[in-house]
Amino acid sequence: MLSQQIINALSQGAFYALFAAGLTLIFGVLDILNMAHGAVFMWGAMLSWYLMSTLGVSFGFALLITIVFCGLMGLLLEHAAFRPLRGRSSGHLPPIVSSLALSIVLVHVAEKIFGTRVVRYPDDAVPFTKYVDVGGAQVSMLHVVLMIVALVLMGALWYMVARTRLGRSIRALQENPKVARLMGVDVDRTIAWMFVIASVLAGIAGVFLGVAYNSASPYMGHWVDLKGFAVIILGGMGSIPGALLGGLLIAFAEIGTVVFLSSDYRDAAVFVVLVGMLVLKPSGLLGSSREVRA
Amino acid sequence: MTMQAVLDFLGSYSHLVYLVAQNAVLALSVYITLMAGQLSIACIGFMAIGAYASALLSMNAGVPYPVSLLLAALVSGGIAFLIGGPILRLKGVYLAITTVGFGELVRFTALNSDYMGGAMGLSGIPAATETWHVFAFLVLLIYGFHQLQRSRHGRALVAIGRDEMAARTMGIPITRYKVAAFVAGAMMASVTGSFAAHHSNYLSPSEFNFSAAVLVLIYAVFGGLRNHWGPVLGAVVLTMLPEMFRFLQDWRMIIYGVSVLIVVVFVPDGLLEFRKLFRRRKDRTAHAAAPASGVHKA
Repeated sequence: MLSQQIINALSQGAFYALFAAGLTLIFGVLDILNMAHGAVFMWGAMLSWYLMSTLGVSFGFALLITIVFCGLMGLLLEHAAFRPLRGRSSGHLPPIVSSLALSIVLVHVAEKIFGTRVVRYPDDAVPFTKYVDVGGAQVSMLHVVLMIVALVLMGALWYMVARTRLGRSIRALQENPKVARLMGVDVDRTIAWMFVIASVLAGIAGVFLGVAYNSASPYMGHWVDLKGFAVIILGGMGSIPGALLGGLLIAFAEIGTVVFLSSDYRDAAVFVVLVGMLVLKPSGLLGSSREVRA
Repeated sequence: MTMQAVLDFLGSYSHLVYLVAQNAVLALSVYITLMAGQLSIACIGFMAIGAYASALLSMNAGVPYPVSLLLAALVSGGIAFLIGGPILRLKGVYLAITTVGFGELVRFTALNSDYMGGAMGLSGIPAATETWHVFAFLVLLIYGFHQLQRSRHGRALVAIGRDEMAARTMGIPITRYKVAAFVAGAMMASVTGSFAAHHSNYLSPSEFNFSAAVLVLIYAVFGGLRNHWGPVLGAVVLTMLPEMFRFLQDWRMIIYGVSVLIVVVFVPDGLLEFRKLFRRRKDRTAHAAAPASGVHKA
């Protein structure tokens, strides 16, 4: 029983981390809270459901289409909500509000296309439905796959930031946008790529979460947004390994609350951990204390 | 004749009119912390505290309505005072997310407490709030903000909002001001909560969720943060907008979102500053000619 809960927590934590990775990438570099991240995540889940159930597309192909679609959605997000505000001296509030407005639009367009119900994925379309025996616990293969996918993608993201040309541009941008531009970094292009990458990660997280828990709805983005914020604060804004650590910590806090207290307090646990963390070490577990205090 | 038309309008849209005033007060409660540069969206949490406290006081202790309202505001203010110190050490989005967490904790408490009605909520709260109560409160607040803006305290808040370090150097006790703004915002939100509880006679924890808190922030920023008229304007426009778009049916919220997006993208300083759209070019040439003069005008 306990080992089953531990596996659950691990896969849940990996999922939180995958979702939060895009948030932390954008916040760490641009100092912008992307409030539409959860809406893209929701689109990933709903679109893949639509493709598999209504159009009868196979899982792999649905995943591929969803990835392309969410990438394009990231581009839209950047062009509609963030780029027009860049370089204006209006502070950090307008981007929060513009991305919120766009997330309202995305949620209601989804409502219009997919309906307002909570939907279930068709049985025959979902892969990895077997259960495996891990240390006496029956574990759904899907949760294991979710965990592996999340870890691999986080690794790829870390590699991209640390080792590739695009990653170097991103790090230059984080250091100092003006100097980066002088050094020949195409700032707009780099930022657009960041949004594409973040949105693709959110979309993949949506597909796998939807399939793993066999449910999706146009409103599933809200609670994930909140968890994502908690994760990036716990792990330290801008840190990809921090997102992984924060995701696991929150998942274990949740599962621990469910096991030892009651499932009623599951969501409260997150915020207790979060507030405790902020009072003790506001820069997060792996964050730099660069800009937390004046 | 026209009087009759006004009464008819109020009759069929009485709830909308009520909501306009309530949301304007909520937007002001966010604005007062924003004045001091603090992004706090705890307002919905304090609104919930005010709603539950006054409802429980009048239902279980038989406290008269105005007294329950006042006591609830004191409870909210007290809580804000206690958590304000540690919470306001945080900056920017860290503060924002923590205050969201606070609101969620309040909601979970209401959701899981049998005394507070749990998920079913509280019903049978004595009806007492008239629409004019909220309007009177709003007018009172607008007057208060008008006075504040011209006073030493108002200037101190704005100074902290512009540059905390500089304000501290000038000898402004910034922590005291920030906590005071937080407490004032909490009490304002609390009163709207009490009003709401005694208006609809029913309370449910789900009313006080994250989306509600975020909407209030949108009102304030949409309207503009230069003075207190911005948040009021934002709340009025954005509360009426979905109603005016009713003919669009299920396209309504999509158009609503698009309108907010367009306004924020084109006038990021808020609707109140729409003139900037036309003035921008002139401003730029003026800045080029006399770079030092435009700073305080903004």
